[in-house]
Amino acid sequence: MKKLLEQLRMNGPIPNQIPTGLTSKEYGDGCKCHGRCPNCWVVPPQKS
Amino acid sequence: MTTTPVSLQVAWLNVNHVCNFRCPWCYAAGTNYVPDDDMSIETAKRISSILYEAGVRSFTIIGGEPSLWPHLMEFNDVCRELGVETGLVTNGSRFGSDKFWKAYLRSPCDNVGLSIKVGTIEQFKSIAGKVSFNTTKKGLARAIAYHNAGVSTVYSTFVENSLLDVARFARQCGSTDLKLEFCSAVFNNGKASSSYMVGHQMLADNIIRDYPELMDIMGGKVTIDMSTPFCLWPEDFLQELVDEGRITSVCNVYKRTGVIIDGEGRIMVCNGLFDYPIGQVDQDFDDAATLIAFLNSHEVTDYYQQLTRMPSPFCAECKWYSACGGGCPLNWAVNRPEDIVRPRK
Repeated sequence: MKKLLEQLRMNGPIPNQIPTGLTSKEYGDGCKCHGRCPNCWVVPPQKS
Repeated sequence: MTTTPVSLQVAWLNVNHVCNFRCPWCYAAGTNYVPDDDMSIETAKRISSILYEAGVRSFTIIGGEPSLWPHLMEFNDVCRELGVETGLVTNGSRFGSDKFWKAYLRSPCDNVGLSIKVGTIEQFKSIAGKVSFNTTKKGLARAIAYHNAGVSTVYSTFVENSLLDVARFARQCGSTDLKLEFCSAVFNNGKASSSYMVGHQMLADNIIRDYPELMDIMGGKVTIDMSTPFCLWPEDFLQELVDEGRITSVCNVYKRTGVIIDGEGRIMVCNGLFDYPIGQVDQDFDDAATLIAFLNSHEVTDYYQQLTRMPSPFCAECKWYSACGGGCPLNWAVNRPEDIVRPRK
Protein backbone atom coordinates (compact mmCIF):
# COMPACT_ATOMS: atom_id res chain seq x y z
CA MET A 1 0.00 0.00 0.00
CA LYS A 2 2.77 2.38 0.96
CA LYS A 3 4.49 2.06 -2.41
CA LEU A 4 1.46 3.44 -4.23
CA LEU A 5 0.85 6.27 -1.79
CA GLU A 6 4.48 7.36 -2.15
CA GLN A 7 3.86 7.97 -5.86
CA LEU A 8 0.75 10.10 -5.40
CA ARG A 9 1.26 13.81 -4.94
CA MET A 10 -1.96 14.96 -3.34
CA ASN A 11 -1.22 17.58 -0.74
CA GLY A 12 -4.65 18.68 0.42
CA PRO A 13 -6.48 17.65 3.56
CA ILE A 14 -8.54 14.52 4.08
CA PRO A 15 -12.12 15.65 3.39
CA ASN A 16 -14.70 15.74 6.15
CA GLN A 17 -17.30 14.13 3.94
CA ILE A 18 -17.22 11.69 1.08
CA PRO A 19 -17.82 13.52 -2.22
CA THR A 20 -21.22 12.66 -3.65
CA GLY A 21 -20.31 12.94 -7.32
CA LEU A 22 -22.71 13.48 -10.21
CA THR A 23 -24.87 11.09 -12.15
CA SER A 24 -25.74 11.57 -15.81
CA LYS A 25 -29.22 11.72 -17.28
CA GLU A 26 -28.71 8.34 -18.87
CA TYR A 27 -28.01 6.84 -15.48
CA GLY A 28 -30.91 8.73 -14.04
CA ASP A 29 -33.13 6.97 -16.54
CA GLY A 30 -31.68 3.68 -15.37
CA CYS A 31 -28.14 2.52 -15.88
CA LYS A 32 -28.17 0.28 -18.89
CA CYS A 33 -25.06 -1.69 -18.24
CA HIS A 34 -24.48 -1.69 -14.50
CA GLY A 35 -20.90 -0.48 -14.43
CA ARG A 36 -20.27 -0.45 -18.09
CA CYS A 37 -16.54 -0.30 -18.19
CA PRO A 38 -13.52 -0.95 -16.03
CA ASN A 39 -12.90 2.68 -15.33
CA CYS A 40 -16.52 3.40 -14.59
CA TRP A 41 -17.33 2.83 -10.99
CA VAL A 42 -20.82 4.15 -11.07
CA VAL A 43 -22.76 1.90 -8.77
CA PRO A 44 -25.96 0.75 -10.45
CA PRO A 45 -29.27 1.78 -8.98
CA GLN A 46 -30.81 -0.81 -6.72
CA LYS A 47 -33.75 -2.52 -8.31
CA SER A 48 -36.93 -2.47 -6.29
CA MET B 1 -13.17 12.01 7.21
CA THR B 2 -16.45 10.73 8.50
CA THR B 3 -16.10 7.03 7.88
CA THR B 4 -19.15 4.98 7.16
CA PRO B 5 -19.01 1.20 7.37
CA VAL B 6 -18.53 -0.44 4.00
CA SER B 7 -21.80 -1.67 2.55
CA LEU B 8 -21.21 -3.65 -0.62
CA GLN B 9 -23.69 -3.43 -3.49
CA VAL B 10 -21.67 -4.41 -6.51
CA ALA B 11 -18.50 -6.31 -7.32
CA TRP B 12 -16.20 -6.31 -10.30
CA LEU B 13 -14.61 -9.65 -11.05
CA ASN B 14 -11.44 -9.35 -13.06
CA VAL B 15 -11.48 -12.82 -14.56
CA ASN B 16 -8.53 -12.67 -16.96
CA HIS B 17 -5.81 -10.56 -18.51
CA VAL B 18 -5.81 -12.17 -21.91
CA CYS B 19 -7.17 -10.04 -24.74
CA ASN B 20 -7.61 -10.29 -28.49
CA PHE B 21 -6.91 -6.57 -28.87
CA ARG B 22 -3.69 -4.71 -28.13
CA CYS B 23 -4.79 -1.20 -27.27
CA PRO B 24 -1.59 0.60 -26.32
CA TRP B 25 -3.27 2.73 -23.63
CA CYS B 26 -4.84 -0.19 -21.76
CA TYR B 27 -3.93 -0.81 -18.13
CA ALA B 28 -3.85 -4.52 -18.95
CA ALA B 29 -0.75 -3.98 -21.09
CA GLY B 30 1.20 -4.05 -17.84
CA THR B 31 0.00 -7.59 -17.17
CA ASN B 32 1.52 -8.85 -20.44
CA TYR B 33 -1.93 -10.31 -21.24
CA VAL B 34 -0.78 -13.65 -19.83
CA PRO B 35 -3.27 -16.35 -20.73
CA ASP B 36 -2.60 -18.54 -17.69
CA ASP B 37 -4.04 -16.34 -14.95
CA ASP B 38 -7.72 -16.84 -15.70
CA MET B 39 -9.97 -16.97 -12.67
CA SER B 40 -10.84 -20.63 -12.15
CA ILE B 41 -14.52 -21.52 -11.96
CA GLU B 42 -13.90 -22.77 -8.43
CA THR B 43 -12.51 -19.38 -7.38
CA ALA B 44 -15.38 -17.61 -9.17
CA LYS B 45 -17.94 -19.72 -7.33
CA ARG B 46 -16.22 -19.27 -3.99
CA ILE B 47 -15.88 -15.51 -4.38
CA SER B 48 -19.42 -15.09 -5.66
CA SER B 49 -20.78 -17.04 -2.71
CA ILE B 50 -18.87 -14.84 -0.23
CA LEU B 51 -19.94 -11.66 -2.01
CA TYR B 52 -23.55 -12.77 -2.16
CA GLU B 53 -23.54 -13.34 1.59
CA ALA B 54 -22.01 -9.86 1.94
CA GLY B 55 -25.01 -8.36 0.13
CA VAL B 56 -23.74 -8.05 -3.45
CA ARG B 57 -26.43 -8.63 -6.06
CA SER B 58 -24.60 -7.43 -9.15
CA PHE B 59 -21.33 -8.70 -10.59
CA THR B 60 -19.57 -6.92 -13.42
CA ILE B 61 -17.20 -9.23 -15.24
CA ILE B 62 -14.11 -7.47 -16.54
CA GLY B 63 -10.65 -8.33 -17.86
CA GLY B 64 -8.57 -8.43 -20.10
CA GLU B 65 -11.30 -9.44 -22.48
CA PRO B 66 -13.78 -11.36 -20.37
CA SER B 67 -15.67 -12.83 -23.34
CA LEU B 68 -12.54 -14.99 -23.77
CA TRP B 69 -12.97 -16.37 -20.25
CA PRO B 70 -13.84 -20.04 -20.80
CA HIS B 71 -16.19 -20.16 -17.79
CA LEU B 72 -18.36 -17.18 -18.72
CA MET B 73 -21.56 -19.01 -19.54
CA GLU B 74 -21.19 -21.50 -16.69
CA PHE B 75 -20.67 -18.60 -14.30
CA ASN B 76 -23.77 -16.85 -15.64
CA ASP B 77 -25.76 -19.98 -14.82
CA VAL B 78 -24.28 -20.07 -11.31
CA CYS B 79 -25.22 -16.43 -10.75
CA ARG B 80 -28.71 -16.87 -12.13
CA GLU B 81 -29.29 -19.65 -9.63
CA LEU B 82 -27.85 -17.48 -6.87
CA GLY B 83 -30.09 -14.54 -7.78
CA VAL B 84 -27.26 -12.26 -8.84
CA GLU B 85 -27.12 -10.23 -12.04
CA THR B 86 -24.05 -10.34 -14.24
CA GLY B 87 -22.77 -7.62 -16.49
CA LEU B 88 -19.97 -7.97 -19.00
CA VAL B 89 -17.56 -5.27 -20.08
CA THR B 90 -16.24 -6.23 -23.48
CA ASN B 91 -14.85 -5.02 -26.77
CA GLY B 92 -17.72 -6.92 -28.39
CA SER B 93 -15.62 -8.68 -31.02
CA ARG B 94 -16.45 -12.22 -29.94
CA PHE B 95 -20.14 -11.57 -30.37
CA GLY B 96 -19.36 -11.30 -34.08
CA SER B 97 -18.69 -15.03 -34.20
CA ASP B 98 -21.91 -16.88 -35.03
CA LYS B 99 -20.79 -19.91 -33.05
CA PHE B 100 -19.96 -17.90 -29.93
CA TRP B 101 -23.09 -15.78 -30.17
CA LYS B 102 -25.28 -18.87 -30.37
CA ALA B 103 -23.60 -20.36 -27.29
CA TYR B 104 -23.76 -17.03 -25.45
CA LEU B 105 -27.49 -16.65 -26.02
CA ARG B 106 -28.08 -19.88 -24.13
CA SER B 107 -26.58 -18.31 -20.96
CA PRO B 108 -26.22 -14.58 -21.53
CA CYS B 109 -25.22 -11.93 -19.05
CA ASP B 110 -27.99 -9.66 -17.82
CA ASN B 111 -26.32 -6.61 -19.28
CA VAL B 112 -23.30 -5.62 -21.27
CA GLY B 113 -21.09 -2.56 -21.48
CA LEU B 114 -19.29 -2.18 -24.78
CA SER B 115 -15.99 -0.46 -25.17
CA ILE B 116 -15.44 1.01 -28.62
CA LYS B 117 -11.75 1.56 -29.24
CA VAL B 118 -11.47 3.43 -32.53
CA GLY B 119 -13.64 4.76 -35.32
CA THR B 120 -11.90 3.81 -38.54
CA ILE B 121 -10.69 0.63 -40.19
CA GLU B 122 -7.17 2.06 -40.44
CA GLN B 123 -6.94 2.66 -36.71
CA PHE B 124 -8.61 -0.63 -35.97
CA LYS B 125 -5.88 -2.53 -37.78
CA SER B 126 -3.28 -1.15 -35.43
CA ILE B 127 -4.97 -2.41 -32.27
CA ALA B 128 -6.86 -5.51 -33.23
CA GLY B 129 -4.31 -8.01 -34.45
CA LYS B 130 -6.11 -10.81 -36.24
CA VAL B 131 -9.62 -9.75 -35.31
CA SER B 132 -11.49 -8.32 -38.26
CA PHE B 133 -13.17 -4.94 -38.27
CA ASN B 134 -16.37 -6.35 -39.74
CA THR B 135 -16.57 -9.15 -37.17
CA THR B 136 -16.18 -6.61 -34.38
CA LYS B 137 -18.77 -4.30 -35.91
CA LYS B 138 -21.18 -7.22 -36.23
CA GLY B 139 -20.54 -8.21 -32.60
CA LEU B 140 -21.06 -4.69 -31.33
CA ALA B 141 -24.30 -4.32 -33.30
CA ARG B 142 -25.60 -7.62 -31.97
CA ALA B 143 -24.84 -6.80 -28.36
CA ILE B 144 -26.23 -3.26 -28.60
CA ALA B 145 -29.47 -4.57 -30.07
CA TYR B 146 -29.86 -7.56 -27.75
CA HIS B 147 -28.85 -5.89 -24.48
CA ASN B 148 -29.79 -2.31 -25.27
CA ALA B 149 -26.17 -1.90 -24.26
CA GLY B 150 -24.30 1.24 -23.45
CA VAL B 151 -21.16 2.16 -25.35
CA SER B 152 -18.08 3.84 -23.99
CA THR B 153 -14.77 4.95 -25.37
CA VAL B 154 -11.47 5.98 -23.83
CA TYR B 155 -10.15 9.34 -24.95
CA SER B 156 -6.40 8.87 -25.36
CA THR B 157 -3.72 10.32 -27.61
CA PHE B 158 -4.63 7.50 -29.96
CA VAL B 159 -8.02 9.04 -30.79
CA GLU B 160 -7.48 12.65 -29.75
CA ASN B 161 -8.24 13.86 -33.26
CA SER B 162 -10.72 11.18 -34.25
CA LEU B 163 -13.26 11.20 -31.45
CA LEU B 164 -16.01 12.14 -33.89
CA ASP B 165 -15.15 9.08 -36.00
CA VAL B 166 -15.57 6.93 -32.89
CA ALA B 167 -18.99 8.46 -32.28
CA ARG B 168 -20.05 7.92 -35.89
CA PHE B 169 -18.91 4.31 -35.67
CA ALA B 170 -20.90 3.86 -32.45
CA ARG B 171 -23.99 5.15 -34.25
CA GLN B 172 -23.36 2.83 -37.21
CA CYS B 173 -23.36 -0.06 -34.74
CA GLY B 174 -26.74 1.09 -33.43
CA SER B 175 -25.71 2.83 -30.25
CA THR B 176 -27.95 5.63 -29.06
CA ASP B 177 -25.55 7.04 -26.48
CA LEU B 178 -21.86 7.32 -25.78
CA LYS B 179 -19.92 7.56 -22.60
CA LEU B 180 -16.59 9.30 -22.85
CA GLU B 181 -13.82 8.39 -20.45
CA PHE B 182 -10.41 9.93 -20.15
CA CYS B 183 -7.33 7.75 -20.36
CA SER B 184 -5.80 7.48 -16.91
CA ALA B 185 -2.32 6.76 -15.69
CA VAL B 186 -1.34 3.13 -16.03
CA PHE B 187 1.11 1.27 -13.82
CA ASN B 188 3.69 -1.10 -15.16
CA ASN B 189 5.98 -2.86 -12.72
CA GLY B 190 5.05 -0.32 -10.10
CA LYS B 191 5.85 2.68 -12.26
CA ALA B 192 3.20 5.14 -13.37
CA SER B 193 3.01 6.18 -17.00
CA SER B 194 1.04 8.89 -18.75
CA SER B 195 2.13 7.92 -22.26
CA TYR B 196 -1.36 7.85 -23.76
CA MET B 197 -3.01 10.50 -21.63
CA VAL B 198 -3.86 13.66 -23.53
CA GLY B 199 -2.24 16.64 -21.80
CA HIS B 200 -4.75 18.26 -19.48
CA GLN B 201 -5.06 21.60 -21.23
CA MET B 202 -5.23 20.03 -24.67
CA LEU B 203 -7.80 17.56 -23.38
CA ALA B 204 -10.06 20.36 -22.22
CA ASP B 205 -9.57 22.35 -25.43
CA ASN B 206 -10.27 19.35 -27.67
CA ILE B 207 -13.37 18.22 -25.81
CA ILE B 208 -14.82 21.73 -25.79
CA ARG B 209 -14.09 21.92 -29.53
CA ASP B 210 -15.68 18.54 -30.34
CA TYR B 211 -18.55 18.55 -27.85
CA PRO B 212 -21.23 20.26 -30.00
CA GLU B 213 -20.68 17.91 -32.95
CA LEU B 214 -20.37 14.93 -30.64
CA MET B 215 -23.76 15.77 -29.15
CA ASP B 216 -25.15 16.21 -32.63
CA ILE B 217 -23.90 12.79 -33.78
CA MET B 218 -25.18 11.04 -30.63
CA GLY B 219 -28.55 12.73 -30.60
CA GLY B 220 -27.74 14.59 -27.42
CA LYS B 221 -26.84 11.53 -25.39
CA VAL B 222 -23.22 11.94 -24.40
CA THR B 223 -21.95 11.34 -20.90
CA ILE B 224 -18.54 12.46 -19.77
CA ASP B 225 -16.96 10.40 -17.04
CA MET B 226 -15.25 13.33 -15.39
CA SER B 227 -12.10 11.84 -13.92
CA THR B 228 -10.23 15.13 -14.26
CA PRO B 229 -10.54 17.82 -11.60
CA PHE B 230 -13.38 20.18 -12.48
CA CYS B 231 -11.04 23.16 -12.35
CA LEU B 232 -9.64 22.08 -15.68
CA TRP B 233 -12.83 23.28 -17.35
CA PRO B 234 -14.20 26.78 -17.94
CA GLU B 235 -17.06 27.55 -15.59
CA ASP B 236 -19.66 28.07 -18.33
CA PHE B 237 -18.87 24.79 -20.06
CA LEU B 238 -18.86 22.90 -16.78
CA GLN B 239 -22.15 24.44 -15.71
CA GLU B 240 -23.70 23.51 -19.06
CA LEU B 241 -22.65 19.88 -18.61
CA VAL B 242 -23.97 19.80 -15.06
CA ASP B 243 -27.26 21.46 -15.98
CA GLU B 244 -27.78 18.99 -18.81
CA GLY B 245 -26.90 15.96 -16.67
CA ARG B 246 -23.96 15.03 -18.87
CA ILE B 247 -21.41 14.17 -16.17
CA THR B 248 -20.69 11.16 -14.03
CA SER B 249 -18.04 11.67 -11.41
CA VAL B 250 -16.48 10.30 -8.24
CA CYS B 251 -15.59 6.65 -8.47
CA ASN B 252 -16.03 3.71 -6.19
CA VAL B 253 -12.69 4.32 -4.51
CA TYR B 254 -14.47 7.18 -2.75
CA LYS B 255 -17.86 5.60 -2.24
CA ARG B 256 -16.66 2.14 -1.27
CA THR B 257 -19.91 0.46 -2.21
CA GLY B 258 -18.16 -2.07 -4.39
CA VAL B 259 -15.18 -4.36 -4.39
CA ILE B 260 -12.86 -5.63 -7.13
CA ILE B 261 -11.53 -9.18 -7.06
CA ASP B 262 -8.92 -10.52 -9.45
CA GLY B 263 -8.34 -14.02 -10.80
CA GLU B 264 -6.36 -15.10 -7.78
CA GLY B 265 -8.97 -13.92 -5.30
CA ARG B 266 -7.10 -10.73 -4.43
CA ILE B 267 -8.92 -7.51 -3.55
CA MET B 268 -7.97 -4.58 -5.73
CA VAL B 269 -8.66 -0.92 -5.00
CA CYS B 270 -8.93 -0.11 -8.70
CA ASN B 271 -8.71 -2.25 -11.79
CA GLY B 272 -5.74 -0.17 -12.92
CA LEU B 273 -3.84 -1.05 -9.75
CA PHE B 274 -3.23 -4.75 -10.23
CA ASP B 275 0.27 -4.31 -8.82
CA TYR B 276 -1.20 -3.16 -5.51
CA PRO B 277 -3.64 -5.69 -4.10
CA ILE B 278 -4.80 -4.98 -0.58
CA GLY B 279 -6.15 -8.34 0.48
CA GLN B 280 -6.40 -12.00 -0.43
CA VAL B 281 -9.07 -14.63 0.02
CA ASP B 282 -8.09 -17.29 2.57
CA GLN B 283 -5.54 -14.94 4.06
CA ASP B 284 -7.41 -11.76 4.91
CA PHE B 285 -10.97 -13.08 4.64
CA ASP B 286 -12.73 -16.36 4.12
CA ASP B 287 -16.40 -15.47 4.41
CA ALA B 288 -18.70 -12.47 4.23
CA ALA B 289 -18.23 -11.42 7.83
CA THR B 290 -14.43 -11.47 7.65
CA LEU B 291 -14.50 -9.70 4.27
CA ILE B 292 -16.59 -6.83 5.65
CA ALA B 293 -14.46 -6.71 8.81
CA PHE B 294 -11.32 -6.56 6.68
CA LEU B 295 -12.70 -3.74 4.50
CA ASN B 296 -13.71 -1.84 7.63
CA SER B 297 -10.39 -2.42 9.38
CA HIS B 298 -8.41 0.58 10.50
CA GLU B 299 -5.55 -0.18 8.11
CA VAL B 300 -7.76 -0.46 5.01
CA THR B 301 -9.93 2.52 5.96
CA ASP B 302 -6.86 4.65 6.52
CA TYR B 303 -5.47 3.58 3.15
CA TYR B 304 -8.63 4.66 1.35
CA GLN B 305 -8.59 7.96 3.21
CA GLN B 306 -5.04 8.63 2.07
CA LEU B 307 -5.92 7.67 -1.50
CA THR B 308 -8.89 10.03 -1.58
CA ARG B 309 -7.40 13.03 0.15
CA MET B 310 -7.91 16.36 -1.60
CA PRO B 311 -5.27 17.00 -4.26
CA SER B 312 -4.83 20.57 -3.11
CA PRO B 313 -5.76 22.81 -0.16
CA PHE B 314 -7.76 24.86 -2.72
CA CYS B 315 -10.25 21.98 -2.94
CA ALA B 316 -11.41 22.61 0.61
CA GLU B 317 -12.84 25.99 -0.50
CA CYS B 318 -14.22 24.89 -3.86
CA LYS B 319 -17.98 24.78 -4.40
CA TRP B 320 -17.54 21.89 -6.79
CA TYR B 321 -15.58 19.63 -4.47
CA SER B 322 -18.44 17.34 -3.52
CA ALA B 323 -19.27 16.80 -7.19
CA CYS B 324 -15.65 16.61 -8.30
CA GLY B 325 -13.80 14.82 -5.54
CA GLY B 326 -10.52 16.07 -6.97
CA GLY B 327 -10.64 13.70 -9.94
CA CYS B 328 -9.09 10.27 -10.30
CA PRO B 329 -6.40 9.83 -7.64
CA LEU B 330 -4.16 8.14 -10.22
CA ASN B 331 -3.82 11.53 -11.95
CA TRP B 332 -1.51 12.51 -9.16
CA ALA B 333 0.98 9.81 -9.92
CA VAL B 334 1.81 11.59 -13.18
CA ASN B 335 0.67 15.19 -12.60
CA ARG B 336 1.34 17.73 -9.89
CA PRO B 337 -1.73 19.28 -8.26
CA GLU B 338 -0.14 22.74 -8.39
CA ASP B 339 -0.08 22.52 -12.21
CA ILE B 340 -3.82 21.81 -12.47
CA VAL B 341 -5.76 22.67 -9.35
CA ARG B 342 -6.49 26.34 -8.91
CA PRO B 343 -9.00 28.36 -6.96
CA ARG B 344 -12.15 29.04 -8.94
CA LYS B 345 -12.90 32.66 -9.57
